[in-house]
Amino acid sequence: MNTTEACRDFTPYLMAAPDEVDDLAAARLAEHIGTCTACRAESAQYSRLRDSLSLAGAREAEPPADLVPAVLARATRERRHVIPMLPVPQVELARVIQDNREVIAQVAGVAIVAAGAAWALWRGVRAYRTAPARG
Amino acid sequence: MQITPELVEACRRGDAGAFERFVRQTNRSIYTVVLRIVGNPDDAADVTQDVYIRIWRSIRGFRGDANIATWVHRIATNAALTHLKKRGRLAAPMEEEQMAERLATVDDEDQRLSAAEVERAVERLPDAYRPLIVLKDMYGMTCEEIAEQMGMTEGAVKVRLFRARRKLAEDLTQGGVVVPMRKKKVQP
Repeated sequence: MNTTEACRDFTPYLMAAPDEVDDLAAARLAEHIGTCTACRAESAQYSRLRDSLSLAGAREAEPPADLVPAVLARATRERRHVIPMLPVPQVELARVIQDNREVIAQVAGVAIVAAGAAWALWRGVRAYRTAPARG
Repeated sequence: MQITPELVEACRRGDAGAFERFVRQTNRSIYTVVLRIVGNPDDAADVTQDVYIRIWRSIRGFRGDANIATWVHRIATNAALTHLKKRGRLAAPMEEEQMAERLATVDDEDQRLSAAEVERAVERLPDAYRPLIVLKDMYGMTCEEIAEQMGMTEGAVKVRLFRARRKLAEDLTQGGVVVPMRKKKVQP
């Protein structure tokens, strides 16, 4: 097959999936493969390859028979490490905190700002009261 | 992967029985994606175990508005990619027969042959290329998603995908699975 300079420019696009190529490049590619039988054939070949890969992706491997028991055994060990340290009410408390962490952070922020303002006010009042009388 | 919201909620509450059902329902798909990325069944089993422990530890923080299958898939691919980074390129690839034995069959005979050949060729790809082909061409992730997950730029993902596909095509050509393509020494 004859390969021209133009063909070389288009090589990466022949392999690419449609979502990897911008509209301009796609239009130029379509124009090129409309006139170049070699690139048209190669583009079709890569398209078939991508289809085969997609098909292969739908197949599932068979896990080893001991995988699920091993996972469950590890999860049980994990629970034993966690649960004695966190009794059920504390686990529930931890979940509530986790679920509402954004609100808790906002409330904590407001509380810190309010405490800072109150402290600054108190210092101002105290300084005013203890200041020597002027003129 | 079919996981009901009720099952997820039960897992979030720490229900051990629910977690067991969750593991039984999802282990094939999780093991498959991990195996495809790491390329070795023993490593894949170990990484799959790690994936479930990560899920168990973090499912309380799972937000109900997200897709659980996407969330689980992301944890699995992250764990597999992390394993590959730790391992470097030293591990021996899985034997072809071993991989073929582990693959379930599909209905159509022609499709099974074609998919099996392609799967074996993917398995022979170097560690640096295989995850790209698996995530993009087998699982349909976008380049943007892959870039985020692999810590690469989108452009780098596209360049590596180009090289991976070219290597895959060369491998399949040598094996007589596809007709020879023209040799071109160009980069995108």
